[in-house]
Amino acid sequence: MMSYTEDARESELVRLMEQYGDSIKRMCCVYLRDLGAAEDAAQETFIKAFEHIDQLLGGGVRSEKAWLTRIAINTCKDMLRSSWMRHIDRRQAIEELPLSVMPRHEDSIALTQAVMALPPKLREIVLLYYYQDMNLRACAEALDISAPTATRRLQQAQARLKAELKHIEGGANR
Amino acid sequence: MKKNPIIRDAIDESLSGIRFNAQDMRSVMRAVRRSEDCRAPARPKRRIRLDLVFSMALIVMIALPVSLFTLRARSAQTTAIVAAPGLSTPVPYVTALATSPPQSTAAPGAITESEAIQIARACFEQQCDTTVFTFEEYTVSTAFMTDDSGIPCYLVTMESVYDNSCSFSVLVSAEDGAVLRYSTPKLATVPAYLHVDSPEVQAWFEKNGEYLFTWPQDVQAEFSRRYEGGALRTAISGEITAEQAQQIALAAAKDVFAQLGLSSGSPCAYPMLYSERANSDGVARYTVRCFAEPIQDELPTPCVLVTIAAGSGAVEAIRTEEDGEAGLM
Repeated sequence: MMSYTEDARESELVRLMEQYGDSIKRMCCVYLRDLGAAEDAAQETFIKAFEHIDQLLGGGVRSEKAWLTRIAINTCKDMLRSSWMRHIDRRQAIEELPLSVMPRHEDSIALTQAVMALPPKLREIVLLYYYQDMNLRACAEALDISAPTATRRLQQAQARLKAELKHIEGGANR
Repeated sequence: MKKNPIIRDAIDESLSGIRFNAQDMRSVMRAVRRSEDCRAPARPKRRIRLDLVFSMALIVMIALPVSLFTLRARSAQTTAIVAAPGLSTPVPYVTALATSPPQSTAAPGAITESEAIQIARACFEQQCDTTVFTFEEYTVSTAFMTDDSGIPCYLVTMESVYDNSCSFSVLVSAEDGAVLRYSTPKLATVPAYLHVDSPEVQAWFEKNGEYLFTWPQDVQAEFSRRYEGGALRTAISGEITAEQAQQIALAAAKDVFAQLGLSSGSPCAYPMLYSERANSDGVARYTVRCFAEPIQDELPTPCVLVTIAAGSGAVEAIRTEEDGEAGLM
């Protein structure tokens, strides 16, 4: 495999952070429902990405966004498995997140909270499919599940969101 | 069909205040540069708290090791005492010392390297929670250096033999043996989070099953001690047993299952005893996961979580977890 200079590798990392940092951190935040943990998870995602950045530079990664998202989701899963996260009831933490308090954002907040309230398996498929704009096949690959399972989970998630957010027209039912 | 962007827009709008900011980038860059220096995978730093102790810890844990690398080439006297790899019993440092190559050059100062290690050990035993790890469960390395004030000293670094990122560092004056600084004691025993992808941790799951709560109590406790800071433990004298907790929880969950029309199944319960250190009020409690039917490939839903005081056996809370969060462990 071709080796790259430290400058090249670091420049690539900086580019990834600038391009995807916000969305990765927000996704981690929705997934983990904990801002501090999301910060750690987002940082860890890029640290892990750097460990394999030669693969990216060498063109061995088909979609860098899907690649990063997969790393982030796996990192979040690791964090949820820790005893402290498992032990704490994070449902209260949703209200403690720095959500926008602008009145016009009420529907957005309600929808974000509804996504956060989904079970993890449904939450992750919604995050990948809607938030990271991945197709179902890419979602299934990222989550290491079959395409039919991904479809079923997405449908379940849509049904739950629809039920909870009837007042939001044109909700996540497409 | 075009995908409706409403969820993406909603999340971006409502979480617009959350950004991967310059501080995040700096933390990542620092970690990757350190990992490049050390030629070892870096782990993310814990949440930064700008208190005095943490600042000191930062100096000891980050700044000093970096300085160490530069000083090492010209004056460092380093001895690494390596424990047995994997899940095997670590080699006590004294044994390792005895089998390590003799020191060719003694470090300058009144205090010897061995004495510095003993001083660091005393500091560890005084400051850290030795009920989680004993000194023998760390590998110990020392480096001779000078601190910011020019005092010759030994940096004694202890790293857990388990792949959990726990470490403790002590800076010992080589002149008089005084402890100049030490890192945050909690970091010696509480990992930042569970490194599920580490081969060690994976081996535990492969051996015992996908869900930690189904493991035997003593296995849960040992796993938790090594990789989770000892959040779980086994029952002690004066506490209800796991089997008793199981029965109490099943009785408590019975009504919930009945209300949900799930009373015809064969309910099962899986207790986990969270130790005093896992609860802010210092009370040990069982969290028992109850399911209306046995676990197959996927966890059944809902999961009824019953919280029981380990001392009295009193049921403190019953809640239903529809979302299968329990399935993550």
